[in-house]
Amino acid sequence: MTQKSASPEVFVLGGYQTDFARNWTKEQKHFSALMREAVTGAMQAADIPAEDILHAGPSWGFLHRG
Amino acid sequence: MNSDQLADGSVTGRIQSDRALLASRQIKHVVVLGANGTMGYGSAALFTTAVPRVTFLARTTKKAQAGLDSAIKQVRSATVASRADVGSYQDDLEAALETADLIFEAVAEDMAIKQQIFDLVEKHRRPDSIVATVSSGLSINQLAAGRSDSFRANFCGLHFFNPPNVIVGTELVANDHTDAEMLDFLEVFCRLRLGREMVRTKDTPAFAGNRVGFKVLNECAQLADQLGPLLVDKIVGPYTGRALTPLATIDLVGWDVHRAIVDNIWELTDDEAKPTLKLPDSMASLMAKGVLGRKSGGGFFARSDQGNTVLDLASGSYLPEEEIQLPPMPYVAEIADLYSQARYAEGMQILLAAKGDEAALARKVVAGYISYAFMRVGEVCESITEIDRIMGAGFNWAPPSVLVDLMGPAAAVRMLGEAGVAVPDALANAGPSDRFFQHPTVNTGRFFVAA
Repeated sequence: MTQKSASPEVFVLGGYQTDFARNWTKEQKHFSALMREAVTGAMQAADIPAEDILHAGPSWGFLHRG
Repeated sequence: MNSDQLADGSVTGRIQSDRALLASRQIKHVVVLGANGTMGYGSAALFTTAVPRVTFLARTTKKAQAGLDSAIKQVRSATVASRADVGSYQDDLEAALETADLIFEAVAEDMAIKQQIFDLVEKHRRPDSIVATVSSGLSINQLAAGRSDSFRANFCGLHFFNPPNVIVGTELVANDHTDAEMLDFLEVFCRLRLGREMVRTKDTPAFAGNRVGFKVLNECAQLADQLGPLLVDKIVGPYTGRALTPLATIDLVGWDVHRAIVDNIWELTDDEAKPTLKLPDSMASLMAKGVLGRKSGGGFFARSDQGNTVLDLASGSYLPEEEIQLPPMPYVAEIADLYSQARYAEGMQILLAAKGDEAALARKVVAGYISYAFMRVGEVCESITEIDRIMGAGFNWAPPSVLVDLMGPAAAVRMLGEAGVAVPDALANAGPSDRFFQHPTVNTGRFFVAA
C-alpha cells in the first residue's frame, strides 16, 4: 500500500492478501467482509491504527478513472 | 532443525534449508499398508500427487484393489490409478518393501495388529527406508519398542486427518530414537510436496489435535444427554468458531472412532478436565444397538423421507427436527450478522455479554476449549502456536489464540473464571495489548461462518 502526498512522499509498507481458496458464499459473508478483512489486515500489517487515517478514497472509482 | 527455527531467520535461509533437506533423501516409492481402510486409501491417494509409484497393500489383492477404487472415487483423479499398483501382504509385501523409500502403515488401530505388520516390515525393509504410522492415538515409542536401531531411527508418527485430500493439518511425532535429520526431511517433504500444514507434537495420548478437539466434542456429547442434540449444536454452533457443529462432527467421524479416542485419553491421562472425557453411557448403550453415526444411517442426527430428524437419547428413537422446541437465542443471529460483515471482535463481545443459560453454556464450552488448549502447552506441544495450527488446519476450528485475541486477554480470563475452568498462566499474566496467534498467512476470518 503506498500513499503519495504533495511533499514529502510517504511510503507505507504493509500488505494483506485474502486466501484465494476461501469460499465467501459458503461462509455466508457479504462482499463488505472481504473488503473489511483486506483493509484491516493491511492496516495491521503496516501498523497503522484506524484513528491515524484522515481520508480513505474510493479506490475502485480512482482505479477506473485512470 | 524445525522448519520454523531457521538458521539465519530469513526467507532465503528457509528456502535454502528446505532445498537442502529435500535433496537429502528421495521418495520415489511409497508402500501403504492397510490401503483398503479409510485412512489407508485416503493417504495413498495423497501420496500419488507427489510420488511416482504408490503401492496399495492389504490382506488380499481384492481388498487392495477396493482401496484403490475408493481412492480414485475420493479424489476424482485418474492420476491416482496411473501411479498406483496393488497387492497382498502374502504375495507382494516382500518385493514392495525392497524398493520402498517410505512405508506408511495404516492398518487397524490395534497395537497387536500393528506389531504383526511391523514384524514383516522389519524383516524386509531397507535399512534406510522411512517407516511412518498414521495412528491417531497409540504411543509411537511403544510401537517402536524392541525394534532394530535403523527401524527406530527411521520411524515416526505421521498423523493425517480424515479425509487427507481435504484436511491439510498433519501431526509429526517422533519416538525417542528418531533420527532428527530424517524427521526434518519428512516435515519438509510433506509441507512442500504434499501441501501439508505440519505440526510437531509430543508422543502423548491422542497427540495434540485429537486431545483438545475430542475433549470439546465429548463435553458436547455429555450435554446432549441433558439438553438434546439439536439444542447443543445450536448453542455450540458455527458462531463459536467452527464450520461443522460438534455433534454433527461426531456423526461424521463415527461414534466408534469417537469412543476409541476418548476412551484412550480417559484411560491414559489424568488432567484437570478428566470428567469431560468420560464417554456418555447413552452413547455406549446406543452403540451396542448399532448406532455409529452417518456410516450406520444415523447418529445424533439422521435424514429420513420426512426430512431431518434428531435422536432422542433416552428412547433411541428419532423425532422430526421441526417438532423440537428450542429456546430463543437472539444473540446468535446478531453475532452471525456481524460475522457476515467480518466484524468478528464485535461478534465475540456480543457472546461475552449475552444473557441466559444458553449463552452461559456456550461460553463454558468455549472457555473449556481455550483453557484446555493452553494448559496442554509443554505437555503435547512446545507452544500454543502448534496447538493453534492443528486446531485450525486439522479441525477447521477457530484456534484458541484467535478467540483470545478477539476477546482480549482480560475478557478471556474473566470468561474462564466465570466458567470455573483453569486459567493458564500465559493468559493470567498477559498484558492488554498482548496477542497470541502467530501465523501471518492464515485468514482467521475463515473460521467464523455467519450462521
